[in-house]
Amino acid sequence: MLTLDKLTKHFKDVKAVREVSFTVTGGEIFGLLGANGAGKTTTLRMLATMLTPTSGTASIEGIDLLKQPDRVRGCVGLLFGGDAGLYDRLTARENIVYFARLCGRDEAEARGRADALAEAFAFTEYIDFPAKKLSKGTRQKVALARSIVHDPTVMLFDEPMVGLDVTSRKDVEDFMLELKAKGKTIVLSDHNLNITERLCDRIGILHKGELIAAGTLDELCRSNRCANLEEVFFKLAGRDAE
Amino acid sequence: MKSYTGIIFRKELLDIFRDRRSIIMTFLLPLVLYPLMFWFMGSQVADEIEGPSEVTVALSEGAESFRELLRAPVFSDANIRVAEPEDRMAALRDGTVELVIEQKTLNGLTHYDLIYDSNKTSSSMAMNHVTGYINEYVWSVQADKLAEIGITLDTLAPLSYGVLSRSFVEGTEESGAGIFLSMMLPMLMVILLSVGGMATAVDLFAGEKERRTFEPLLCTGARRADILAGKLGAVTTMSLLSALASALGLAAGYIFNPKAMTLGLDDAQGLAIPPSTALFVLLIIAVTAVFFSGLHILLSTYARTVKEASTYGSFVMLASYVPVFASMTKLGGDFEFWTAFIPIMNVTGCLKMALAGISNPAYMALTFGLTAVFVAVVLLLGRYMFKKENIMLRA
Ligand SMILES: Nc1ncnc2c1ncn2[C@@H]1O[C@H](COP(=O)(O)OP(=O)(O)OP(=O)(O)O)[C@@H](O)[C@H]1O
Ligand SMILES: [Mg+2]
Repeated sequence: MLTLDKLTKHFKDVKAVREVSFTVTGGEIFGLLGANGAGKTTTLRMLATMLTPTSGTASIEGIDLLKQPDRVRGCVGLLFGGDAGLYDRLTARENIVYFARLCGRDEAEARGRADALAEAFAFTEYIDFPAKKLSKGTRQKVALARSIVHDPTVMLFDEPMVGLDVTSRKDVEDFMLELKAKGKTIVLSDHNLNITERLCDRIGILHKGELIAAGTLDELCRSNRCANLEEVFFKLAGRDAE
Repeated sequence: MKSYTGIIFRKELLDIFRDRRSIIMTFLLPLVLYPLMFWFMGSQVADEIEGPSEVTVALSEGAESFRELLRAPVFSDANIRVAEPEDRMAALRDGTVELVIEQKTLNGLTHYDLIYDSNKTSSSMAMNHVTGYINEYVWSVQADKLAEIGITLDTLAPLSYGVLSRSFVEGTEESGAGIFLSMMLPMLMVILLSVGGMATAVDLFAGEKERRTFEPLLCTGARRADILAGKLGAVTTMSLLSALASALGLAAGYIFNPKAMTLGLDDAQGLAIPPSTALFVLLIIAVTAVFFSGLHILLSTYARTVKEASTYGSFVMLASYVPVFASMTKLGGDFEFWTAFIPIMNVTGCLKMALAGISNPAYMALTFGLTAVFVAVVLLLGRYMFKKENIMLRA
């Protein structure tokens, strides 16, 4: 379970995130929607303890982000989209083992984990290829495997499907649904409304750092008298929105 | 809490050693290129000292008497050849002749003007060669004439002198690595300590930022101090290996061709560095490597991109050249105590002293202490930067 309590982040003159509060429970996918610069990445970075909130806090599995950042990191997995950050000269296996080791696993455990994940994501045949020789889709699968190598209970996805083709996208989607079925707490930030609509149980709309609406797709449509998510988004966070 | 420094250190080295470009920059270049460069330079200087084996001159009209002169016994081993080009000045310009000789009468004497090309070493060397023989000829004729009236040159001399060299190095008689090696080796070592870790520092900090691997790394169990320490270890290792490669390269070059590697001044007496000095020097080299690595890391952490980091890195490199070149011509005995307060110059000072077999514990202790203080400052700054999120996650 993930709870945000008036989470706020100001950079010098930018109020990137303002008093954002919401809760995501295990087995639920929460979608974060918002225009460029709305504060999605900043929110996820705070949850991953990379940024310190200006005020407010959040807790993961009841552990407070500010008080025990090391423990929080142990139960959070974070995946970025775009060209996922892998070490190009290391093989897929070495990339995964490295992160497993840094999350406290011993060498044998880490190797076992890498093999199991490679099998789960169907890249076993490429596991000993240097990352730079892998296709974009495979790279993203390796990055995904790496982000869950420590078996986190909360997964944060920041535009994980950018630049992927239809099949690779489907693989990532299926995997998120698998994680959900395993009872993981998931936050997905993506500009693609179709994906958000299809995958997310609840959706929050961020606008200029503020969470201006949150609820299920039905709730959002009903309360805003819209037919679909696109209309809701344009109404609340489009160019003319206040 | 568990420290992940070792895991990070090992991964970084593995990563670096797979990068062919870094390997070439760090090892192959210092191991092969620098000694080769010195070899080449050395052979040229050695040639200059030995003088040319043959000189070609052109005689202008009316200077034919020079041919007669060349038949004098003094010129028998001079190897001066007379060429007859159509246009003498053109030949001098093209280098087909090295000198043009003109003749006139001055104060009732035969007078030769030797014209050489001031932009060509070969031509000025030829000039020295020929004037040397002419002087010898003049002396011998004068000596003969004096002998005819019963005077020898020795009786004309007001005094005579001899030159004896002494080295005031404790414990060893006439030790030292030779002037050339003790000038070049410390210089190369210090420069490579600075440059050796640069590519790695750029790759491990700015590179990680640019490739977006830093963020996942910051989300692992590794604390920022662990990450910094592991990476610092890797960069320092590269810096030390690079300096070691240059020392090995020069040593190998010296073994294969001592003459070229010592500029023809083969004055090396064999090294006899006392163990305590050797230990001091190793400590100083190590702490200097950490200092330069830390400096490169600071700049690479601050930079947003690899390109920016490389620019900052070359600045450090150039800045470190200043004290190194400023003391380039100094020998081990030339370093006054105050130079121990000048960073980097004091390191070259220690290395040169060690190569000359001089032990100066106070100087070396001060150098070590001062460099260690710099290291501490750099590390504190590094830790501070690693905590600043606007530096680590600069947009
Ligand atoms: N490290 C930083 N320093 C200063 N300002 C920042 C920093 N990171 C983000 N910002 C600013 O904070 C605001 C929110 O940025 P953020 O990256 O969270 O938006 P986003 O919703 O993820 O946008 P996008 O859809 O483009 O990814 C932006 O105005 C951005 O310029
Ligand atoms: Mg973003």
